[in-house]
Amino acid sequence: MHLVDGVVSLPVLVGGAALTAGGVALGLRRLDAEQIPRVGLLSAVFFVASLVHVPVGPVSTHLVLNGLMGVLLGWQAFPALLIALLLQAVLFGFGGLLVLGVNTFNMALPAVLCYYACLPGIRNGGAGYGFSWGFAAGALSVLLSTLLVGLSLALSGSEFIATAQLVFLSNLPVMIVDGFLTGAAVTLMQRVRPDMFQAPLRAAAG
Amino acid sequence: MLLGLAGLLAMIEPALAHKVKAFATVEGTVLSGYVYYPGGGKAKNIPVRFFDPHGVSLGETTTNDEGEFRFTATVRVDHHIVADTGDGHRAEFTVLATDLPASLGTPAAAAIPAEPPPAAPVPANPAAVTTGPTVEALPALIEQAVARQVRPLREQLEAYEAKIRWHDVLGGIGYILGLAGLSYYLLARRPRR
Repeated sequence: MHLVDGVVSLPVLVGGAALTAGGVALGLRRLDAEQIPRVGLLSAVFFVASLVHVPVGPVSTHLVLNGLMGVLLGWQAFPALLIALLLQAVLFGFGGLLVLGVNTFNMALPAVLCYYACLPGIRNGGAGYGFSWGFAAGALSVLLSTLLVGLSLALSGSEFIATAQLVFLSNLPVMIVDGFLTGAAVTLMQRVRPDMFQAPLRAAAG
Repeated sequence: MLLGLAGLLAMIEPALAHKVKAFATVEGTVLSGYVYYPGGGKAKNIPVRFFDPHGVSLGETTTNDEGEFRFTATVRVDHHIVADTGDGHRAEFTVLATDLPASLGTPAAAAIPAEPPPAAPVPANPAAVTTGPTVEALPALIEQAVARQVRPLREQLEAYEAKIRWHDVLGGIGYILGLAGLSYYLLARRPRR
């Protein structure tokens, strides 16, 4: 899901960069010093997550974990993902540097959407539903990311249905694995650190 | 704790489907290679396109079920190989003109059909026919033999370069922690609410 340089057109590049800049600005506006450790920690987790290999039947998948980041970070997921993706591009060669804006947006927007969609459920749903909402966050964030990747490629000229199908199908195991892992992580945190979900990291309204 | 868990899992078996890479060597005039995902799996039925240094298309082919492709070069220029898997991943590899046999025409001499190296020249003395390779055929044969021997070395080199190294992982984590520390320091100095 990391796009490389040269597969997206210039308008998509510029648009993605602009949207990411806006998201990062929103994320940084209400960033307090106390929240930095969590942001840094989750950025490092995402950075390492792509290296974790999970066999699902005959296929081997990698983790993404942008759902977990969204649920725990909210809008701060934008700067956290920007840094992690930049380091992945520079150190591992995952994805290009010019398309960093597009890649960050494709990963971070679903994270923020899952923050709004799933965090209330996690916070208020009680112990039994933590796993379900976590699974939903994990799977939904990867699903939306694949759609955005398909959209980025479609806006650059390739046929949307075929490309989106390809990206979606090849990432289906990832959605399932991410869902399970996010659900498990949420359940664990509800038990040992429930305050992580109670302190919302909101961007300033308006 | 999450980080420790992630680090532990990463030690088990890091595999990647994040990059696609291409590799090719020259056998005679044929570019033969494969497209693969470092860490596991060949890229099957992927379109592979060939360009010269000016971006002019030299042709295209498709990888087979083993991810392999073959392409016959007709001109002695750098062949820029591009394989696009269609989901945002793209692999590029360049075969240098110097790897191609000198018998292939350069672009300026393309109008003149290139003479293939004589594999079995007419013996000057019909009575002295030998069964081994003739002297004229030796350079081409040696080139091919050396290319065959060197190919595994090049593959190893590519695989080595594509490997994720632990110090890169630790370096990345270090950068993140450093950046977090720096931002904490800066934010703590200027309280703003």
